[in-house]
Amino acid sequence: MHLSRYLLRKSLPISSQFQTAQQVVAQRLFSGQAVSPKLVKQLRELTGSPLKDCMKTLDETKGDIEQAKELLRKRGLADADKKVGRATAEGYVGMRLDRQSRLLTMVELHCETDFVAKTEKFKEGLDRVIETLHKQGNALQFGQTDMSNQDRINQIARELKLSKPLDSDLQSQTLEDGIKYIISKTQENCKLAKIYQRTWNPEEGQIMHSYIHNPQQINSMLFGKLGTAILMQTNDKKHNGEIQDLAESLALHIAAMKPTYLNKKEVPEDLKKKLKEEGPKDQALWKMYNRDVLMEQELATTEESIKVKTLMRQRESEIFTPILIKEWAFFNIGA
Amino acid sequence: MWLNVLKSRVSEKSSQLGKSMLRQSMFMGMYPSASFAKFDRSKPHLNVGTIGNTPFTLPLLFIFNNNKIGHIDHGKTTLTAAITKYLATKGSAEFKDYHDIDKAPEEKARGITINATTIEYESQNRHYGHVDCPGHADYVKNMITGAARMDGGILVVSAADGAMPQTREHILLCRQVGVKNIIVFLNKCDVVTDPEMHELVELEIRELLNSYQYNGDTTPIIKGSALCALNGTDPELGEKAMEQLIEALDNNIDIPEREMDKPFLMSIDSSVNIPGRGTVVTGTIEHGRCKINDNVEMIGIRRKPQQTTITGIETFNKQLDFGESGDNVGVLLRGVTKEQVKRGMCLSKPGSMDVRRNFQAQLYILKPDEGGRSKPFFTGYRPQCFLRTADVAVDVTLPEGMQMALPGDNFTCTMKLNYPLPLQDMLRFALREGGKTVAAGVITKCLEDSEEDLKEEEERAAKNKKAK
Ligand SMILES: Nc1nc2c(ncn2[C@@H]2O[C@H](COP(=O)(O)OP(=O)(O)O)[C@@H](O)[C@H]2O)c(=O)[nH]1
Ligand SMILES: [Mg+2]
Repeated sequence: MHLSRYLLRKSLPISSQFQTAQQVVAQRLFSGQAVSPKLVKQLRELTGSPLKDCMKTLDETKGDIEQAKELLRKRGLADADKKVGRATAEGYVGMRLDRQSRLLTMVELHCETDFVAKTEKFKEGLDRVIETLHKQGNALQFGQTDMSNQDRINQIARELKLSKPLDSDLQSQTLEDGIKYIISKTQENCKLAKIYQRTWNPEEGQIMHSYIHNPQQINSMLFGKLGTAILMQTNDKKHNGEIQDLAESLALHIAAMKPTYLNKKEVPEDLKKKLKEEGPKDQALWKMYNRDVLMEQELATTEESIKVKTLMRQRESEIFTPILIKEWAFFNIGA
Repeated sequence: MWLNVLKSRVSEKSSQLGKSMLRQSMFMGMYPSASFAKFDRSKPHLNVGTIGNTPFTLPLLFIFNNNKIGHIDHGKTTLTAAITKYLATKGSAEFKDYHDIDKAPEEKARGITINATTIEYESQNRHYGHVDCPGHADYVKNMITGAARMDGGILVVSAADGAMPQTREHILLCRQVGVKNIIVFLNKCDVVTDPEMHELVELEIRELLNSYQYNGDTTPIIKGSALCALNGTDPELGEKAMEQLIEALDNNIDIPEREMDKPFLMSIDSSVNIPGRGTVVTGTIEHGRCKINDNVEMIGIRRKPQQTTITGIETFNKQLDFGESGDNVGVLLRGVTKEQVKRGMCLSKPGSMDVRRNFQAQLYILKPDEGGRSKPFFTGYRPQCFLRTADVAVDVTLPEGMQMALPGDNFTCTMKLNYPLPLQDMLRFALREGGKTVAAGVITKCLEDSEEDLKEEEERAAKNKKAK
């Protein structure tokens, strides 16, 4: 029964159209005016495009390589659009931290399988995206509240030009076209899913720390499956050095414990209400606090059992001044 | 049938409970008494993988596609279905529908969740287990848990696409998980029919294989169409190609050395003193065989081996002339006192194995819902390492640049045991702490012990002597 369902699906008009298109190519190739394998090989080496696409375009351009390349590019972009809806759960978090110019850029670029994420094409694309965004300096200001704002991300992708096009045959490419280029090369959907970009001012007592879990490196970019950032502030820059190690352990802690909220106040009222009703007593609520609220979580970077907020208070009392977590970011592939 | 054996093999390794029961029943037989009958070897024995007409342990295959996985793809699942269909007509497999295979259910192996579809089939003279996973990480987990030993790989490349950037990653993965032989199935030859184009793709693949230390020149490349085979349309590209593929599997995937043909090794589970006869040690023979009057070495835990001779072998109240891989036995040793034996030591053929403390391993850190811990750990972490029957403290050193290890991670790291043991590549172990299994691992490379390691051991030994 399963088999018949499968066969039925195969005979739907769309797929039969698709098949006939493929068969047409095959037939043409067999009808005597076949393009030479040499040319196909050449075009594949130049473009890396799927074999049948190379054959088809060469056939259409009657063996003109330059024209075929142009046609492939157009088709690649058009085909990329067809893949845009497909689910993407793999990829990498890329990060660049520039202490000199006090600028942090972090992005999450998705694809469909971890095999593609590992390819040079994908990593190079990620690096180029980071470099492009980083070059904007503090013009973008993509803070914690904007991180996953897909509309804004898409808008920027359409407007910004890549620092250097990924397709070396082109003069320039927008971010969006760059991503479509990656799609056409890997034949998998890719998506710019998150951006976090921040400047900070040490003069005002701000410090920034970021962490990439088990990182690899290309140029000045670190990348991995998981990245975090934390922006902290005291009222005087003289404490900057003293709270550096605190920022470091919190960046690691966030990566390990994956909090959703900074403190209890940030938890939406209706969620609190719902959990309270779930009760026995306030147990469900407390459980959620301990699990999802950064300040209430047990510090992950030590074997001792101590809450994050307790650690913060300890440090505050040591330096006689309040310490503020101004912003934090948590980027994780597959979560 | 195969799955059952697989499971029993896995559970056997993990369940210490079963072992201790075995141990008890074996002790009973060790007490001096000549009245026990000899153990009958012609009866089926549970630990040996003789299924169907296969005289050897079963090779497991795994299979990739060369392209995006889990979507409108390039033929991996279709091929798997086609193989079962083809062999079903020969009566040596059960036909599996495309949709049955495509589900990739979550399997649990040693507590670890893996997305994998496992099917099995038989050729004329072999039995295959065939694993299909959606991602790189799942194959690595497979290797670490030993859920499916991977003796060969079918690399599926669509003739309509040719080698893609990710094909390289597929081949690298084969390297990483220790696949020795690859067979390429060039799929969709019904779409691109031109033989010259096939040759073009073939060249690309052979070149790629060569650049990752596979022999691309001799790797068989089978051309066909999984869809035709499944739908029974083009016999040349369909059925015929399946026949060639199975033949290629039979001829090109090396059978791993039989455990029985390796030198004798048995990890000691426990020991008991039998007044008037000597010391009996019990355990499961890991590989090789042993017989009465064999000279063997007791190795591990101590740096220097201790020579001894086997004077008796028994199992389940029965006396044996010899024991072989898979047997649970008690072995009577000459001139060994119970005090000299420690659980975790091994009996081995003299000179066949040396002991060491340092090795490189691929680790998978269990998540809390797999029974692992929720907190990360850092370089210098010192859990207990459960390796064969040994239970020894181990220092974990994370790879350079890795600040911490999180639940769900898998990576390669170096480890140092508290005392030396006989180690070998692909040996599996578990890291445990406070009653929790923290990580599962497999040894990928044995490393030399340093002068300092030896010195430290001597100092420790001297200290212990003093304390006594
Ligand atoms: N024409 C043709 N199509 C095929 C062939 N093998 C698979 N397909 C089609 O390719 C698509 C993806 O196949 P699937 O087995 O799901 O790919 P997987 O993701 O690698 O498992 C399906 O629509 C199949 O029907 C083949 O040999 N010829
Ligand atoms: Mg599939």
